[in-house]
Amino acid sequence: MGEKSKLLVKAVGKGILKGIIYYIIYYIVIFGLLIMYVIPMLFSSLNINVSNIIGYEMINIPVIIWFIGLHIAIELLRAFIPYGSALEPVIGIILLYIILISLNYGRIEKYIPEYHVTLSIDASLLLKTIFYILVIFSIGSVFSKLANEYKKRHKS
Amino acid sequence: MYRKGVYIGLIAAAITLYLVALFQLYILVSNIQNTVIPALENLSSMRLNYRVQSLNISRVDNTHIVSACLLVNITWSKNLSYRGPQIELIHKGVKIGVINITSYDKPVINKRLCFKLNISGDPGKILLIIHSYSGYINFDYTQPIVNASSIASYAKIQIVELKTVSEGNISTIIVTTKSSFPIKASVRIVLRDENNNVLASRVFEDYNTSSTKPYTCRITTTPDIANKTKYIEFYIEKILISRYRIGG
Repeated sequence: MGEKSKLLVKAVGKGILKGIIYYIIYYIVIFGLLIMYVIPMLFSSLNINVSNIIGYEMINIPVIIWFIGLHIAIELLRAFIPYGSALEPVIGIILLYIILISLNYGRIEKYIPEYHVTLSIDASLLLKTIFYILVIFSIGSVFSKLANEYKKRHKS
Repeated sequence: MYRKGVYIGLIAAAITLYLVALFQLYILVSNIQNTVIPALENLSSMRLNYRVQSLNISRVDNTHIVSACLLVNITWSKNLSYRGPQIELIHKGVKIGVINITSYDKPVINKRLCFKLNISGDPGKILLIIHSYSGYINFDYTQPIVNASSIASYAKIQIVELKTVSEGNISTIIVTTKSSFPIKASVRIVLRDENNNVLASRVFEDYNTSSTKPYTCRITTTPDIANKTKYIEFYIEKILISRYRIGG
């Protein structure tokens, strides 16, 4: 197996592993906690069981595929393109955006046949604000990674 | 060629953006603490009570309608200077009224709310849908507050005079009634014995009374039923408006 093939296999392997790890961190831990615990906790004083209304699935296959696919892309960029690792946070932003889309930007509607009414919860401003903060943080990471790679490449 | 200035510039940009992100996070957390949580606390402590100002039960094309005006008071725990929820009242899927709490700075006192309820068939419940705007999380919150039958029963039929006239095998129970609020409807009178068994039931299609206008119902029955009657009940559709015990 050639050097490039080895790099390619290594990049794909790392991409799959990182995709799953970041899926757990972003989708299950951060947004899962937010949707399944933080928002229901805010509503607990009203005796509304929001968890029943929110259709959050811990295992979301399309999102997992996106996470793995984009992390493979990150590892390939890192392995074959100069300063490719600096693009990692940009792909992180794309993944966050995919999470927001999969959660319908935090907008949920549910018809309650007993009362003949449709109820809704709109946490889009909260999720968009969190997304916006993470985007700023990610762009900061781009600069940080560029600085480190610049130093590594030019000092050696 | 390595230029330290480029490296420092990139790190400075990174630190600046990290600080901006942290500052935005601080604003988000403090906004949740100062607006979302107090708004939710106010909603959970919200108390609604009402007084019936006027009421009218009428029949239009075989449909019984309760027209009511309520004086509504809504209170909550904290006076805050931002927008409160919009409250909709729904009956049988129809919006019958809206209370807009434009600010949490003072409670809603004696807000006049007038509506019509169709009580034919199942009288149904009046639901509150609270459209809450707490900044980061907006939501609708629904709960039933009162049965339509409870509102209708404020019309309260009172017995002014009750007497029984017997002639041979026929007894006539003569009930003169008034009501707290005008009623022009089909009223069913049910006679029950000591064990709540139905002895007789009569419908008065042209029942028409108010607090000042008495209406007399004559129920022709047997002396046995007249003697056994212990309770008289007045119904409009399925709603028990009043129930009285007669005799000892």
